[in-house]
Amino acid sequence: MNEYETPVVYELSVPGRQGVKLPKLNVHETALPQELLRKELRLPELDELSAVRHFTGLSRKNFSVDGQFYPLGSCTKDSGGPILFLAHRKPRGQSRSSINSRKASRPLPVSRVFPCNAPRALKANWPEFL
Amino acid sequence: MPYIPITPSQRDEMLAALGVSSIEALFEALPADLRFPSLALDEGVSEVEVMRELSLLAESNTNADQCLWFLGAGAYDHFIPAAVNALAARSEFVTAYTPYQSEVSQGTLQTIFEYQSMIAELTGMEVVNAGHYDGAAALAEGVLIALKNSENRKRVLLPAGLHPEYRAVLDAYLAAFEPRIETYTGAPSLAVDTLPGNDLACLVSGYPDFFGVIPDLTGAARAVHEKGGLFIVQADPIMLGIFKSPGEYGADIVTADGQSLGNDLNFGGPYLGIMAVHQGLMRRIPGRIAGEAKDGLGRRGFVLTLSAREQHIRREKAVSNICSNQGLAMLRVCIYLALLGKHGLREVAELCWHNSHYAAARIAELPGFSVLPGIFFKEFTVNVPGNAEEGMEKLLQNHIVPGFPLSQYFPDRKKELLICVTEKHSRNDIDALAEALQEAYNE
Repeated sequence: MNEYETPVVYELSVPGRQGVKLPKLNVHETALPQELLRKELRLPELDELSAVRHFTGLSRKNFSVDGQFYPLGSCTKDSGGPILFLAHRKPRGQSRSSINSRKASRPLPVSRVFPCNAPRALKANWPEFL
Repeated sequence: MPYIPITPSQRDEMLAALGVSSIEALFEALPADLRFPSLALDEGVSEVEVMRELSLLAESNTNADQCLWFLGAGAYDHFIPAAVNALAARSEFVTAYTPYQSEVSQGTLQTIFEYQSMIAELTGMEVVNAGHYDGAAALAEGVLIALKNSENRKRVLLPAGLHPEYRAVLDAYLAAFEPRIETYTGAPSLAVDTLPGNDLACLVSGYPDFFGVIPDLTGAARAVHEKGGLFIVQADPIMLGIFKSPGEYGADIVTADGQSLGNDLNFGGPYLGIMAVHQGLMRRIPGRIAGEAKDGLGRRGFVLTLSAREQHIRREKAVSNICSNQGLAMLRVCIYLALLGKHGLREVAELCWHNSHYAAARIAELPGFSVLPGIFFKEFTVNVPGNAEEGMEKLLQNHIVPGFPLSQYFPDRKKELLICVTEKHSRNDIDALAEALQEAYNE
């Protein structure tokens, strides 16, 4: 399945290209400590489509459970099926803007935010769980 | 999904081909009392019902997108380009086996190779492995390299500003090695001055530390090497987009958490432990390494290399027994770095710098508030007028997570918040935080 070579990501680099657009700075600048800064950062420079095609192409050079019969997989590949890929992306509640419009409708306890508090919270809620 | 898709007629066909009359007859060789145990499982539920149940459970989670989120402390809400999710979710990556057989794993092997190349550049080091469980595990493995370097060197110097959870992981990893762990404050180069010359295994420095403060690493490597130890730097990989690499400071081992580079917060994991070393430690670095090779026809390909270090070759001599666990987290870092590239990563780091310094200055102006001194990157400590956790309870009512109350780890630091500001925050977000802080702590 590897009839062809794929260039490595550095070989696809074109000076000045960038795969994402970032927000414009909208606060005043704070001087950076020049003596602590690096002179250069030799990461590749790719546009988004080149990067997408590159990694899509690389994925096709993998043998995989979804692609072929694969009588292996002791530890790494127990396929749970597509539902798991949907489910693990599930905790996406409302966006912040919709929350701001209905402020404080659902209070958010500290225990929800800090896992270190979780045992305490769980104990407090035991009757509900039992 | 139905895990066993075979129909009754297919089953009969197979039994007929075997010349066996029934399933019972097929398993006759097994002791009767072990055959067909009752599993006490019900019939299972439909996909509709499973998704309904999971959705209900998910609704009781809070995630960063629902809040004004200024919490960091080891898990960072950075921007992730859409292409990272789209590409890393390709099932050819997700359902591939570990890449032992290079002929059928060129996709994974080349992404490992590219990841290693980009991390080597970012850290200023020469050899990179394809990952540990998280930053804390990578750091612990780094310290283990130093301890195994020489039997007589047991002293490990850790910075007082090490993440408390990293310290807990270190203690667990190192328990069997009887290290002499000591903590130091201030510049690393001064910390080793008064030590005897014969027992230092390593000195660890944060870059920045848990509180976001960037220590002065000048002269640290020389001072540590003079005492015969290794210099280990635990870095924030986003900061390396603009700041000098640990390699420039002469680090022997660099570790970092790769979560910031394209991995979701994931409620604390899975993350990615990054480890990079210089050439001299090439045979001591644990984990998987991909290298460039040629196939029988002279074409370029990629293979796992220096495998003698790994568990599947010589288990008892392996330098560690980690496997392919973090493959997908590594892939996401690889795609992230390729998309951001040279200019993008610098922009992200600069936005973090300017936004966080604007926030610190804005908050320092509030009556009763002050910001702890020191050169910091993206995270800084604020003294608030009042109990930090109590004020926070009020802010959470409005879905504002203002930071990390230090009392969670340090019970006597009740009035301090560790605040993290990234490229995702706008000026409006920061102004809203400042106003909310003033309101919450001045009532």
